Amino acid sequence: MIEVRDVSLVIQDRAIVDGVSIDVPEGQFTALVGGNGAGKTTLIRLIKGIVVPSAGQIVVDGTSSLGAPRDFALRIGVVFQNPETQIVASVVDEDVAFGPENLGLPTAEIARRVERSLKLVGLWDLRHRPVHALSGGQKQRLAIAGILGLHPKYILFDEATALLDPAGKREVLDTALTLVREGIGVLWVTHDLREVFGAHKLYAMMNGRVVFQGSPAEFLSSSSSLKAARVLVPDEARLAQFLENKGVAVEWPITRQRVLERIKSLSLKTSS
Amino acid sequence: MALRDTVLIGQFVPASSALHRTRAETKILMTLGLIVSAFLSKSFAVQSFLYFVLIILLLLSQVPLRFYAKSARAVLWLVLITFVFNALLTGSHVLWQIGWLAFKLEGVVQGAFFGLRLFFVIFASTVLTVTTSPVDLADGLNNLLRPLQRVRVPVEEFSLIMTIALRFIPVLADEADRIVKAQKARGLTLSGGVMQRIEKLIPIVVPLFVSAFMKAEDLALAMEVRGYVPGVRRSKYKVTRFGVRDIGFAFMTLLVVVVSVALREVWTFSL
Amino acid sequence: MVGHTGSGKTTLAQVMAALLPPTGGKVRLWDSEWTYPRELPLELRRRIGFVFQFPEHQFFAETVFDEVAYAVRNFGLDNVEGRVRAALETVGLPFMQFKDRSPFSLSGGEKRKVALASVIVFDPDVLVLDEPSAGLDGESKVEFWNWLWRYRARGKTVVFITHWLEEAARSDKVIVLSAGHVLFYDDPVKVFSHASTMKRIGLEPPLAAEVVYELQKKGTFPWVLDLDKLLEALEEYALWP
Repeated sequence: MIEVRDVSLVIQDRAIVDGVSIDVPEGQFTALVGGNGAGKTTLIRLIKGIVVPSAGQIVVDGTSSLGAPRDFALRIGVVFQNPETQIVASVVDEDVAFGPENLGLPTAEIARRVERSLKLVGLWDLRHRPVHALSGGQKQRLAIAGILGLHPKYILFDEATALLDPAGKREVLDTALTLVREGIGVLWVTHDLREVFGAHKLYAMMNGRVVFQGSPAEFLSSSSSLKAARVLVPDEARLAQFLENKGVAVEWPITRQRVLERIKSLSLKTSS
Repeated sequence: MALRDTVLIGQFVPASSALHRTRAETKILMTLGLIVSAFLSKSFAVQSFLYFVLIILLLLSQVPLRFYAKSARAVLWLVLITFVFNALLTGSHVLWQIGWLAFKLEGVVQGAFFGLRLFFVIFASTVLTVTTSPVDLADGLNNLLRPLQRVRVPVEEFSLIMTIALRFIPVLADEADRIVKAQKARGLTLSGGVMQRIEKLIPIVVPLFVSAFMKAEDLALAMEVRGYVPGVRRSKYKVTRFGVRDIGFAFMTLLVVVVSVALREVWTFSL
Repeated sequence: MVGHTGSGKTTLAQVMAALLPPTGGKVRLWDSEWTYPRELPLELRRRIGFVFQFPEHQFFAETVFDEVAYAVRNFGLDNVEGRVRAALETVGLPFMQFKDRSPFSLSGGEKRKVALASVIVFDPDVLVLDEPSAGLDGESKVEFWNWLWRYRARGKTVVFITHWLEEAARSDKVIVLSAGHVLFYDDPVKVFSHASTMKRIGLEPPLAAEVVYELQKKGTFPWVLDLDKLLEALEEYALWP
C-alpha cells in the first residue's frame, strides 16, 4: 500500500498540495478527480518521488520513500497524459525493452519481460510495428507496457485517457482494470466520472486539498463535492438517479448497459 | 502533403529480408564502403558497376520501390542543380547556348558524373536507413564508435540522443505543419523582402521550439520514471551475433571496393 | 463533424478552410472557387477562423495583447486595441488584467481562452474548431459550450469537430465521417436515430438517443437528444411502478 500522509508542497509561499492524505492499496482501483489546477498532477509527482514534499511523508509498503534506493522507486510506475512523449524507441517491442535495459537485466530476462508486458496490454501481435503506425489508444497501452517491464506494484495514471478518442479511452481503461485484477494498485486521475464508477474508493481535490473521500456513489450524491471537483455528472448517472427516484434502481457500478437494461424493462402509456 | 511524407530519413520500413536481418554494424560499414568506392574513382565503369550493386541491394531489401521513389523525388532537384552548375561552369567546348547560358561538353559530362555519384551516395544511405530500425542504427554506431569511449567520448549518450532524435523527427514535422497552418489561418503570408520574411518566421519558429522543449521535458521525465539514469551501464534486448550473412555482406563490400579501385582508370570522363 | 480517429475529420475541416489543398474536387468559398496552388487571398482568409486542437501551442508573442493582435495586424484591420479588448472580454478575460501578461504563464483554461480570442479577434464569418474542448475540465467545458452557442447566436457559422456525439447533439446539422466518406449529413435527430450504424463505425451515440431507440420499440415516445428533455419525456410517457 502507498500511504500519503499529510503531504504538502509549498512553492513561493503557495501551497500547490496542502496536507493531503490518501491511500493506494494493491489490487484496488483508486480514483482521483478534480479540476484543472487542483494539484492532481503535482500529487502524482510527489508520490512518484519526482518532487520532494515540503512536509509530510509517503510510505510505500511500510517504508518511507524518502531517500529510498533505486529499485524501491521502481515499485511505482506512472503513465502520463501524452502517449507521444513516453515512447523512446521507434518499434513496439524495442520500446518496452527500454526500461529493463536501464536496469541492466540479462537479455533473456528482458525478452521475457517484453513478452509478458505486451501480452498483458494486448499488443503482443503488434510487437514489430513501428510506433508511428499505432493509434492513440495503442500508443498509450504501449506506454503502460513500458512501465510493466519494470515490474511495478503500483501504477499512477495521470489523465492517461484525456487525449484519446472514446475507443482509445475504453482500451486504456480496460487495460488498467486488467492490471488491478493482476494485483497492481492503480491510482486513476480523470475528469470523466464514467471511468471511475467502479472505483473502490474516490478522492476529489480542489486548490491542493482533498475535499472528498468515499465511494463513487456517495460522491455523486454530494452536489457540493461535485461542484468543487469541477466534474460533469455523466448522463448515465443522472438517468440512473432519476430511475431510482421512480423506484427502478440501477445496480452499482452504473454502466450504460445497466441503465439501458432498466429502460428496456419499462412500459409506456401508449404501447404499440 | 504533410511534411513528414517528404522526410524519409528515419522512416524505417520493417520487413524480414536478408538486409533487415544483417547487423547494423555490417550495414554501416557496407554503406561506408560503397560511398568510399564512389568517391575513389572518376570512372563511369565504376559508376555502372556500383549502380548494378545498388540495384541488387534494393531488390534484396524487399522494400516496395515506391518508398525509394519517394526519397528519389526529394533529392532529384539537388542532383539537377549539381548537374546544371557543372554544365555551366566547367569546360570550354560549348554544346549549346541559351542567351548568356552556355552548356559546355566537359561540364555536362562532369555534371552527369557528379550528379550520378550524389544520387548513388544518397540512395546507398537510404538503403541503410530503410532496412535498419533507428534503434539498431544507433546501437550499431554506438558499437562502432565504442573504442572512442577510451578517450572519454560519451558514446552511449550520443547513441541514445540519436535514437530519440530519429523517433521525434516525424512528430515534430507534424507539429511544424500544424503551426504553419494555424498561423496562416491567422493571416500569415510568407512574402516580402528577406528581412521581412525572417521576421515572419518568428510565429512559426518560437512555437516549434516551445513545443520541442516541452516534449523534451516530458520525455526526460518519462525516461526517468522508466529507470533511466544517465551514465549507468545499460544492457541490450537485441543481441544478434555476427553470422554468415554478415560475413557475406562484408566480403561483398570488400569485393566492391577492390573492383572499384581496379576499374578506376577505365572509361574515365576526363577528356 | 463527428467520426472516429482517422475517419478524415481534421483533413476535411482543413480542406474546407482552404488550409490543405484537395487533390480532387473543388472548394467554393462564398463566390470564389479555391484551387491549388493559389494562396487564399487575405480578404477571404479573414472570413474563416480556424481553431486547431490545443490552439495554445501556437503562442509566440511576449504579451497576451500582441498574441491576440497578431491576426488583426496581419489582416491590416483598424482599431487594433478596440478589437483585442473586445475579443478578450468576449472569452471572459478582463482586458486590463491580462493584456500585459505572458501568454505562456497562464493557466490551462486561460491559455485556451486567449487562443480563442486570437482567432475571433478578426470576427470571422465561419469558425472552424478542431476538438475545442479537449483537455478542459467539466466546468470549463460547460463554460466553453455556452460561449460557443452565444457566438453562433451572433449569426456566425460554427463548424466543430468532436468524438463525442453528446456534444454534437445540439447542433443544427451533423456530418458523420467514416473512413474518409460522408456517411450522414442531416439533422441530429435523423442522424442519431441510426444508433446501430453509429456503434458499427466506432461512435457512441448520446445516451438519450439509445434510450429513445429502445423505448420507441415499445410504443409512442418522442425523439429527444438532450437528457433534460429525455427526463421530461420519461415522466410523461412511461408507466411507473
